[in-house]
Amino acid sequence: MDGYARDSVLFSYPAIIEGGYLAMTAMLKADIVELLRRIIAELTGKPSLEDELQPEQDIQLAGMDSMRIIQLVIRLEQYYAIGFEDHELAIRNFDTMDAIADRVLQKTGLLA
Amino acid sequence: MMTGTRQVHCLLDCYAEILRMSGSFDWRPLYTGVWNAYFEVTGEGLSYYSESVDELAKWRARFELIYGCDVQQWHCAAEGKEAAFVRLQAWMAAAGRERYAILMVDLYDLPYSNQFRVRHTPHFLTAVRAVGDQWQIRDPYLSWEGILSTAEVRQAFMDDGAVIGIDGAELRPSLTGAIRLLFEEEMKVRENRLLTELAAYIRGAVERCGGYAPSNLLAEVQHAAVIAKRMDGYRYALSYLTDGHRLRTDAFDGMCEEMARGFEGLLFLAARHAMTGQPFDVPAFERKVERMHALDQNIKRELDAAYPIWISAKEGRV
Repeated sequence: MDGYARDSVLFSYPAIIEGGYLAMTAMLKADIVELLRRIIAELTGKPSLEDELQPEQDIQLAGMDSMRIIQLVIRLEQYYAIGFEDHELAIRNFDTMDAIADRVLQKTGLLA
Repeated sequence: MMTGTRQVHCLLDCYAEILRMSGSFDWRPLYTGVWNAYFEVTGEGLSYYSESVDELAKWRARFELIYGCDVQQWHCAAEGKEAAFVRLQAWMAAAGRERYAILMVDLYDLPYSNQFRVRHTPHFLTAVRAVGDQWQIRDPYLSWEGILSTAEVRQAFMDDGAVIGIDGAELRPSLTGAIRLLFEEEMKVRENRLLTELAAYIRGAVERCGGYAPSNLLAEVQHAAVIAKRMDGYRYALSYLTDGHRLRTDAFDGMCEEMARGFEGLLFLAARHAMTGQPFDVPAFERKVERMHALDQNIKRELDAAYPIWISAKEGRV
């Protein structure tokens, strides 16, 4: 019984660590999405987007044409001190805030 | 056969939309040479539209040549905006006719558009029907279809705009001889002018700034993103030329995709340097440009190779 309990605690460590990691990643992602909303609202000249834009929504339909997306990506590079590689720089890779946030997390090493 | 168009060229996308609405007309030949369509380069940057070259007349003549119908066209400059709009209303009101109109509007005034947001941004859309105060509009370039009021259409109709009137009943299947003529003419142009001009513009701006990208560079070259969409015409051309031959076009599609990504890459590079103030990475830029020139030549060679196969098929040798 004692051994089982010890094993069980030991067994749960990775789960605890993983749970904490996932929670932290989720918080960071929420922060990135919030930043994205602010930048998109500014670039499109539509302040209402800061409240209305949904993470899975196609940002091009919200007024982010290719040039605005380019500006958004460069701002993210500056803000998070990251650099996207040439092969990653396709407009279609940045079509939703959700996808963009994942890409930023991947660049920072926080998402596999 | 490809069933739908992508964003390529807002005027040609309207013509193609009318061909689709009018029946089983093959719209792909219409895009022959769209990759060479004119754009303006001035000291202030690249512009997808031109005030000096009458592109409307050129594409209208081509449409008439390929589809054997007369196209009506009238301009606000000649008869005034209000008179041109009244004439448009009369055209759309003709009972019992399958009439369409392509309108030159200001993108800024379209209630459904978020693009650009500056005044005097010419754009084309298709009026399908006008009943009372309701205009049924199709905007294939912006993938929008819906109803606008007369006031909204009138507001968007440009002061120096134009109307192209097409009677669907007059359309005929595409003429092989006309397509041959146009294809051979367009394939004589071996240079990708957008690539040459964009590279030259960026190179010149960086040189004038002592090796740095000026902060307004992105604004000056932003229309390149619109012009680059015209390169999708390559796909339509190969799709048309190889129709029914069961040839694999995956590699060609891959090259076209790489071309589109290449233009995005050049704009990303320009934006990154303009926004960060870092010294411009000239070698990286020149490598990209060189790779894209080579890619464009490969695309053109593929089209060259497909053309005789198409000719043979048309002459009944295959």
